[in-house]
Amino acid sequence: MGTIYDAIVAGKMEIAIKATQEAIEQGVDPQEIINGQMVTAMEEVGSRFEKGQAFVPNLLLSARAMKGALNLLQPLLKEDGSSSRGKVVIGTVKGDLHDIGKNLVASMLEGCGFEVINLGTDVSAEKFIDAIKANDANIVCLSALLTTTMNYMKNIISALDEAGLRECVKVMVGGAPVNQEFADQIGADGYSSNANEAVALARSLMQK
Amino acid sequence: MNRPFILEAWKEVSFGSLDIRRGDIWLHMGQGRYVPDDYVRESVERILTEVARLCRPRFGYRLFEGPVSELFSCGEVISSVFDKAEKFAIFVATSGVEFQRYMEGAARSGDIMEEFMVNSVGSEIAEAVGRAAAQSLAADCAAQGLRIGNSYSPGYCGWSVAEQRMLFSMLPPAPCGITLNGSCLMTPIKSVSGIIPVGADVIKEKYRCAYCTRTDCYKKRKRK
Repeated sequence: MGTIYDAIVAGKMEIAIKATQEAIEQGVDPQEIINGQMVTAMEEVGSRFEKGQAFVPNLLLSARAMKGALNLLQPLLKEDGSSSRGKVVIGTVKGDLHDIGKNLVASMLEGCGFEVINLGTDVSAEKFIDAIKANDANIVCLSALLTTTMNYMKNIISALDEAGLRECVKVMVGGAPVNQEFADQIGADGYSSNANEAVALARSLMQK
Repeated sequence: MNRPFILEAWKEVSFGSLDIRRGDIWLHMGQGRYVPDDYVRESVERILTEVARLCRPRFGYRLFEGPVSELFSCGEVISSVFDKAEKFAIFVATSGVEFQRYMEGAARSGDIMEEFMVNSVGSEIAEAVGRAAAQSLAADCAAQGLRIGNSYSPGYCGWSVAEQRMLFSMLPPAPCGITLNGSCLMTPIKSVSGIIPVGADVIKEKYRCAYCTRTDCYKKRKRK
């Protein structure tokens, strides 16, 4: 493949950045770097994760390397949004302060070319709605780690309905107590149990 | 709740005295077969060195008379463990607000890998303080001819996390600086709470992970 691909698969950020800089200087098309090396590298790491050959730290190191290299390319990309795979608003729902799982998903999504608006933790339905409107988001990701907070996801979906946004945005849910059955019950569009699955799900929802 | 207790202890422990298990940090970070590379190992050691300078771990517990079922609906798995316990202890243990601030700093850095490693280290610190609490309780109980069993926490093994409210009502306000929010989430986040069976005939059994529905628990990963 190439140095950028290898560096991202290995999770080596400095090497990925240096190789990307060299590719830019050689006049390689930024979109070719992204699609030809970066995205395929992240797909390879994701595939290894699914097979149990890579673990969460490997995903994160690769996503970090990808993000670092992507930062160099951003100013060179068209500003019409065609280089983005979609806009995602993400947050941990009201009452819950757990950050890390949601940040893993955010990081993987960014690494895989999505534009991510991370609202942090303890996020109310109103804040989600404001962010979806302000950013014209395609997907909203809701995270909860407690059985006492997961039910607030249903409130958010109802609020999206009331705001007339439900048809405009896909809803993804995740977190330790959440499962597919719960996602179906509250009317979410999808559930993922880990950051890698979340990327695959976001990609498939963008096709619908 | 104003239920009389038999004994209590509230302690701050030195970070250096904690039994921080590297193997358990790797378990927090991945699954059983995860082998960290040099970068991760060195980063975790650096984090531990930094944390050692600021972390003020604390724990506390109270020992109560009577069956635990009078107070808690902790489900079939946990209730059966308490069958032979004429007493029970309620404990809390925390990595402390100082570590919480350090963790928040890592989150603000924008480096997801650093945040993830600090988070995993924090989970192990909280577990290590919990183990220190259990050791201290075991020593107190041994002096009275009593033994202790394993600890169980709300949110695990079929015990609702909402019972944190009852658990905290049996302790002084903000024990060890830990507070509960409306969703029963503890702050500092890297804290543990739970109950421990105590009695003359209590034995430490293997954890009944097979009965627990949590898939993200590192104890389950460890026993895979």
